[in-house]
Amino acid sequence: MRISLLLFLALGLFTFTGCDDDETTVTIDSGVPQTFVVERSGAFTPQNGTPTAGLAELGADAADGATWVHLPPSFTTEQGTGTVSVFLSTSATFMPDAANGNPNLILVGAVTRNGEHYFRLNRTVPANFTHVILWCGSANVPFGFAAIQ
Amino acid sequence: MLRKLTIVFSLLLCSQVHFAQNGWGKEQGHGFLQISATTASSDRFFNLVGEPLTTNEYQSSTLQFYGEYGLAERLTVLLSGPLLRRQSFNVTEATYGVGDLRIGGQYALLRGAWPLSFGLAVEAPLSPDRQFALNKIQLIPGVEEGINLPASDGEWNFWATLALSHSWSAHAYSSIWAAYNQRTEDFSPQWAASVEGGYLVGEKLWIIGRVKTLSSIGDPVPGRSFARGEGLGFTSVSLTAMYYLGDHLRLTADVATYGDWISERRNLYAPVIPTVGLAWEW
Repeated sequence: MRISLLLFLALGLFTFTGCDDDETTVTIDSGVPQTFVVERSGAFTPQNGTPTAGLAELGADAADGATWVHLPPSFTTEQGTGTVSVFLSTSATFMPDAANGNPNLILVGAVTRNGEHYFRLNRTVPANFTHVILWCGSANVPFGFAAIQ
Repeated sequence: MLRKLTIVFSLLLCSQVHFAQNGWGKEQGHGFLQISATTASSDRFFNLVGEPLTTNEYQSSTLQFYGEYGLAERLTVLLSGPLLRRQSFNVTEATYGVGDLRIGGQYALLRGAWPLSFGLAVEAPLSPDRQFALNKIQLIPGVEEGINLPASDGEWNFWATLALSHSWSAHAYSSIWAAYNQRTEDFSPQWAASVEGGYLVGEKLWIIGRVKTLSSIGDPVPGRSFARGEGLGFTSVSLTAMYYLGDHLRLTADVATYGDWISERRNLYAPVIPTVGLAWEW
C-alpha cells in the first residue's frame, strides 16, 4: 500500500512536471508580424471631409519574409459610415478594372475602428504600387490616401 | 378662405422632411391628416465641405404621415414622422426603419391681417442610429462590408419657429418663417428659413411655390453617417399642387430640387424629389 502510494505520487509528480512543458510553449499571434521592418511609408492625406490621419507602412516580417501593411496606432478615418477598405494602388486615384483583374489595385483588408492595424499579404508588392488608399466601397467614395516611399 | 389657406399650409408641411409653419394655425376643433409617399435616387453627393462627388447610386423611399389639430382658440398641436423609411445603395442591401417622431405645438401670437405664430417641437428618435446595409458582394473574408444607413439620426431635436403670413386676396397668400434647431449628442445646431407664395386657380386647385434654406452652425463633427444630418446644409425650391377632391379629401403632388442659392449643399444627396399624398380635413 505504501509502495502504491509512492508510485502514485511519483506518477502525479511526473505528470504535473510534464505540464511544465507549457511554460516553454511560444504562442504566435498570426495577426501580427514577429519583427516588422518598414520598407516604405507615408502620411495619409484626408479626402472628402473625413478625419483621416496617421501613417501607412509597407514592410516585411524579418522572421519569415512575409509582406505586411501596417497602420500605426495614430491611424484614424471616418468610422461612422461603415466599413472602410484598404488598398495598395499604383496612384492616389482609385482605378478599378475588374474585367482585367484590377491591375492597379491590391486589396489589403478593411478597417472598422481607429488605431493600429496589421494586414498580412499573401504576395509581394511590385514597386509601381506607390499608394495606400482608403475606400468606402458601398458608396464608392475615397476617404484618403498615403504616398508610400 | 382662412380655412383653405390652413389646408394649404398643412400639405406643405408634409411635402418635405422638415416642418414649415404659418401664422394662422388651425381653427379650434378642426383637424388635418395626411399620408404622403416620396422616392428619389441620386449618385451626386455633396460632402461636408460642399464638394460634389459621384458615388454609387443612393436610393431613398419614405412613407410619411402628418397631423394637426386645433386644440384651443390659439393653439394647434402637430404630429408628424416617417411611417417607414427605406434606404440603400445600388450595391448594398436595404435598411428599413421608422425614423424620428415630431411632436409640437403652435401658438397664435397675433391675429388679423398679419398673423404671427410661435411654435415649439421636439423630435424623438424611434430607431437606432446604426443600421448597416451590407454590400451585396462581400470581398474581404471575415469582414461584413457595409454602410450605415439609419432611418433615425439617433438623437433628440428641439425646434423653435416663428412664422408670419398674409393673405393678399381670396386667391393669393404668402408666408415666411424662421427656425432654430438645438440638437443633442454633440450634433451641430441648425437654423432654417422659408418663404412661400400660393395662388388658387379656379376654386379647387392651389399652386404653391416655396424656397427653403437650412444650414448647420459651427464646424461639423466628423465620423457620422450622412443620413444623420451632421453638417447638413441646402437651399431647396419646390412646387406644390393641391386639388380638392371633395369637401374633405385632398390630393397633393410636390416636386422639390436643391441648389446653393442661400445655404450651400453639404452632406446630402440632392436629387429632384417627387412626393404625392392624400389628406383628410375636417
